[in-house]
Amino acid sequence: MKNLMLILWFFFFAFSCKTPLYMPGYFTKVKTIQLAKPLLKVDSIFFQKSAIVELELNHPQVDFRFSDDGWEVSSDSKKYDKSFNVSSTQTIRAKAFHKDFLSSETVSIDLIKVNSLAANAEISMSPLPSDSYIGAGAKTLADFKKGSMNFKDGNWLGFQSEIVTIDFGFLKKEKIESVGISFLRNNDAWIFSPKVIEIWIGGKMVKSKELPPTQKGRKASFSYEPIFFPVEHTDQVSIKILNLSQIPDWHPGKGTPPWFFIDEVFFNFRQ
Amino acid sequence: MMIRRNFIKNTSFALAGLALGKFPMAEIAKYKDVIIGHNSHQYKIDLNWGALNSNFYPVKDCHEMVQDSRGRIILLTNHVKNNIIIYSNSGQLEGVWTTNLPGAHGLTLNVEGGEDFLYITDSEKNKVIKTTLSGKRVLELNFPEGEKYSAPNQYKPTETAVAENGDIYVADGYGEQWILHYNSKGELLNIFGGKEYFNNAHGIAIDKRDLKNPTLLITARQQNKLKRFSLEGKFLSEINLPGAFICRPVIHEKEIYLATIWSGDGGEGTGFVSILNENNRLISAPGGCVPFYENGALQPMYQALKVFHHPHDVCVDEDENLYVAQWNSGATYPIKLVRV
Repeated sequence: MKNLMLILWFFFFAFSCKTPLYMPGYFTKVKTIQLAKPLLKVDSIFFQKSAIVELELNHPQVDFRFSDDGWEVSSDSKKYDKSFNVSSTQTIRAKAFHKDFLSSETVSIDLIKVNSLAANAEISMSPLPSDSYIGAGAKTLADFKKGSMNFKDGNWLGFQSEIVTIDFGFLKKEKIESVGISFLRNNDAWIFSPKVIEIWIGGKMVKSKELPPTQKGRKASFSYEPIFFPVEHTDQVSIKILNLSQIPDWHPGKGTPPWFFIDEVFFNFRQ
Repeated sequence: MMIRRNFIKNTSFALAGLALGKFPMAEIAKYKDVIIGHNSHQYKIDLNWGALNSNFYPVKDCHEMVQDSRGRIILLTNHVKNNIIIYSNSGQLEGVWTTNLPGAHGLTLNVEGGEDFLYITDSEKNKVIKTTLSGKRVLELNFPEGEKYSAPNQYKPTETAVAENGDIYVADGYGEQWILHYNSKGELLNIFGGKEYFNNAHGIAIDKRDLKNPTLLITARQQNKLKRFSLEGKFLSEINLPGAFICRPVIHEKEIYLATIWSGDGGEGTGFVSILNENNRLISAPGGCVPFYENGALQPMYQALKVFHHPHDVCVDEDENLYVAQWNSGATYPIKLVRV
């Protein structure tokens, strides 16, 4: 008898037009819907003195928790009451909480303190960026303005060349110990990270850094690549960016040249 | 209408009381229904209203929905096995048929001589068809070769709107962004709009709220704007909805309802529903943040609750419940929002 009931049950659902377990008038209950990620706003990702961090999710009775110590955010993390200042390089992570909803995914941002010389430098590029993504010209690379995910926002320079060379000339010789390059990865927009970044000083390559290839399915993201080398006393630095010659086979744009988008370059110097 | 809404609200409490009556109040609160939306337009969520057995009635993208004169809800999907799925108001399956259109996208219902007709756009086959409710084709509008178009694949129509006199307006939202104006026989009368005005002219509707002065409301989805044109094709004004990637305007009574497929910076899975009042101000955003105006300007909208993934259309029934069809959301069926 029990088996017969099971068979009837199976056939009822297998041949029912509605899916199993549909209960008319049953509404979604609290504790089953997740909050969206809060907005994590900063006045500048790159800063010289401090950056201001602000969290927002305009929904009644939402609480925010955040961490600035590298740990994942939990309901025991620091409570956010109002915007705060960050004065050193660190990662801020945050989540939204609500008594009736599941907590949000974590949102995070890397804030980077720089003591850059680039703002005073004479900058030249070869080749020039595409006419469509020329920003405010070379000075775009040293204006401390982070580009957004909208790569047409005027804060990005876009190139479609296998080799991009950017030359920096400083007013006087400085002791330089690292270069930081900020760029965009967005496979959906055919924008890929470089293969290799080389630093050249006085006609000599002082550092070459190979970057891991972009994997299929990787979400669009900002990248910041710091490159350290033995301190050089110089007034001329060249950055050579070696891009993929063509988009990989797994991508709809396979075989065509990828785009490279860069928004900022920083030089950290020893005082 | 109000009586029915109160009934839903009250019976939910009563049923909760019957089922959980011996539990403390805190326990009851744990099982309360989620209510989304703001101000006068708030809703409970019935996630499974439109769910069917996908072995028999599969969907890919659920693009648009309309309600016919008998109160049935008609869904358009781009699954060619059953492009059209007809539900009863309670979500029971009433019938299916196919147009064999793999890019079935826009669905508009118009009553002509007492009979319901469907206008369906296909952005892959580059055409618009008009059918009866049983699927018989009575008119086809193919790509309008001429000054604006030289090849069929330039024309990717996404939506239609039909005027009182039977004139048909087609939005070429995935193509060259022109708005095409035909008479009821399918003769081309005018072409206007274009890339000067639109980035993704995704949806179009005739705004008859001012009976003496009907106009066209057209979405510029990537620009987060609604643009108003005269029926003759003259640009009149625009409504800014920053952060809201709106699909098509659905005008019901005095309000405009818009599925909002993405929000914020346009990231995946960030949709919600937008509802504008008679003054074209956003008054409710089920699934979205609280609408906030500063100095008369709507502040950027974004998702607050992950109820929806990619809402693509909203259908409003006679009780002002909403049915939400979603694009690229795991082949899921429409969700019903019951107004409270």
